[in-house]
Amino acid sequence: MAELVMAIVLLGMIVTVTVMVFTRMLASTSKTTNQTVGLVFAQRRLEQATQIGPPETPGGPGWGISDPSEVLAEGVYTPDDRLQTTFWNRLTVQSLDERSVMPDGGRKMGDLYRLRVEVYWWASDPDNPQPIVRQGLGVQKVELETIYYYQRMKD
Amino acid sequence: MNRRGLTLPEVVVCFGIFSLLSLVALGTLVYGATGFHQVVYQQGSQNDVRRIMAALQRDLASTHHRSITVEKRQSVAGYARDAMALCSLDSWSDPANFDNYLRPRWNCYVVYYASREQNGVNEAGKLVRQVCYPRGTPVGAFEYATFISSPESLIRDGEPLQSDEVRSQILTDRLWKFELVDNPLTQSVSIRLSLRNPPQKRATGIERDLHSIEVLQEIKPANTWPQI
Repeated sequence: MAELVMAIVLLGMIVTVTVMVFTRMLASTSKTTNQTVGLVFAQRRLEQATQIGPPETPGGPGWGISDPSEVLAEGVYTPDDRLQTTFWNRLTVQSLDERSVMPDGGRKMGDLYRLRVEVYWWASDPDNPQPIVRQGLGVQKVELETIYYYQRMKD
Repeated sequence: MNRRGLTLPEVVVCFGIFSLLSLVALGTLVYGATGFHQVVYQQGSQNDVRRIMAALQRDLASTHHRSITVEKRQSVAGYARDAMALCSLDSWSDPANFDNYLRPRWNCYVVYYASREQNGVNEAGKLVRQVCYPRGTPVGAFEYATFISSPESLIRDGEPLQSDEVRSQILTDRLWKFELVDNPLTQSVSIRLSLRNPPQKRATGIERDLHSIEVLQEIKPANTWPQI
């Protein structure tokens, strides 16, 4: 009888571990799928922002956004072909003006910016979407940034 | 030593326990195998998407916007299966492909197209990249005349064309949607690429929803020659 109990317990442990391993593997693959999609979203957002460029006048519209805190949402069929997953993205622009100053005090040839895009999914509150952390999966977002030089003669 | 043997109830109980354990073990094995296949398919789709987007990024960013032609097409079920042609160089590292001012001597066209056939439950088509060397016609930073006048001579469903003039490469065979939009204002091309994997069967016989991966991208051709 003891052998039987031992065998069942062992089998139970093996089954539990196997199921856990495959469940974790599936969840991990699902996350990398979303990361792949998120990364392409981020590249696209940076591409669009650099196509439009900075505002002509300080405070004016530029980079394709009217409000710097604006969060854009787009749905794509990932990973389910019947249900869209919403990906939110936020662009933040930091001027690196102090680094583009000419050392001899001459005319500036342009402006230097740091553009950062944050893309996240499965956000908790659709009205105020914020990146979430899932147990065992970590934070559900990707970030991409680039340094962008906009050529513009200045006095 | 017990030489009595086993009674019938003992044999029945033994078989019952053995069957139960076998069921649990088999169930775990099936679950593991299904999960493993799903992971392999999903990883494959991700790799395909990365590879396709890298190829599109490279070809589109290095060409001139004036040479791009987009052909809108659909599969039988109404999914976007577009095609696109653009001018390019067969080798960007060969100095003979550039003039004295390092301007490219465009010598081939690259065609991307999605086949319209629908294979399998996932209604998959192929995404094909073709490098075309038109005979007797100089390649410039202009639209591909053959692609516009008779696209069927290049684009075909089923097996892609292979000849001295056309070299085809299948990028994926699980394509769901391939939608292209040319934006003349921003001089860029918007891309929607979706891949869909075949369904996985459960032990109950019910098929799962199809796993898909979809990306949106916008790429601006960066080459300005001959329009500087």
